[in-house]
Amino acid sequence: MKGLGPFVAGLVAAVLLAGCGPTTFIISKDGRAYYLGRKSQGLHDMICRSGDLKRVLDETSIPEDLRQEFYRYNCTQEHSKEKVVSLYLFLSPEEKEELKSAFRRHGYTINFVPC
Amino acid sequence: MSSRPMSAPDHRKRGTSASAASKSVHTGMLFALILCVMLFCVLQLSSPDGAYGAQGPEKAPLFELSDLQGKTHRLADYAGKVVVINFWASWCPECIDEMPSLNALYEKLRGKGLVVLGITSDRKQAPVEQALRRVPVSYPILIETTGKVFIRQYTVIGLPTTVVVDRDGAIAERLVGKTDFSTAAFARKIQDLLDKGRVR
Repeated sequence: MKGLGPFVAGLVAAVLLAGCGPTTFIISKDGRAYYLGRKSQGLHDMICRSGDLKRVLDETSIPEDLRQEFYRYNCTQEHSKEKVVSLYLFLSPEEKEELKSAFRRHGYTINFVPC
Repeated sequence: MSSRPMSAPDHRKRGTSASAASKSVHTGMLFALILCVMLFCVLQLSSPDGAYGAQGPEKAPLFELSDLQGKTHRLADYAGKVVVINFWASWCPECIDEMPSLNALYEKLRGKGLVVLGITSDRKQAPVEQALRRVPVSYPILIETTGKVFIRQYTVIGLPTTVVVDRDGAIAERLVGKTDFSTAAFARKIQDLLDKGRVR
């Protein structure tokens, strides 16, 4: 049993390391928090099924085709974490701020966690 | 139940079992470390989107973009050359930092067939021109307005990102983050790619 301690610690470290790839930002609402772009049923329910992401995006001045892509890579079968990160990176600093502000207006808390 | 004073062999036995326990902890730690590395590699490389970790040489997606002077550049036009594609943005300090060393490399090897294309994600020309006044470069700077090349084709997930394309049009290297292009190691790598497939 003694050997199990380091094993568990290693496992936790591995999970933390694996979860520390390129990121967007953390959004949270009603006590639930997710990295934007991660594939998760909880995130899907929170931002896609609720219609929140559509409303949030419509409140920004991000070009229409980029907004559609943002929705597509977050909420459809074409879901792609990498594409969401890439799209977020492609936005200008002003557009990123607008997006975060729009999320805040819809009750989301934004946490940027540099990795 | 009898209680008797511990004999010398008992002491040795206790020492042996302590040593065995310590060995077990070390083995456990080693096992955990190996598993940790394996898990990390699997989770990082096995992207469900298949964008990374693909088997075999990945062909560089072809694109057509205009530079700041309005001249069109097609990747296909540079077939047979070694092309360094540098994704950057005017608001990214690390991108600006690495540009002088990339420009120096370009100046040194352009006569030998090296092409450098800077692709900026800025959709407005003014901040790009402002950045280039501070860090002038002689290679073309292409403007990417739609995100097609940046997001869909190359899926840039960190800035700066540099993609090295070999003479066969395959991606030889993808560097994410600030790179010092003035190192002998990088110059040798580029020189090797330039030497490969050269008509003698």
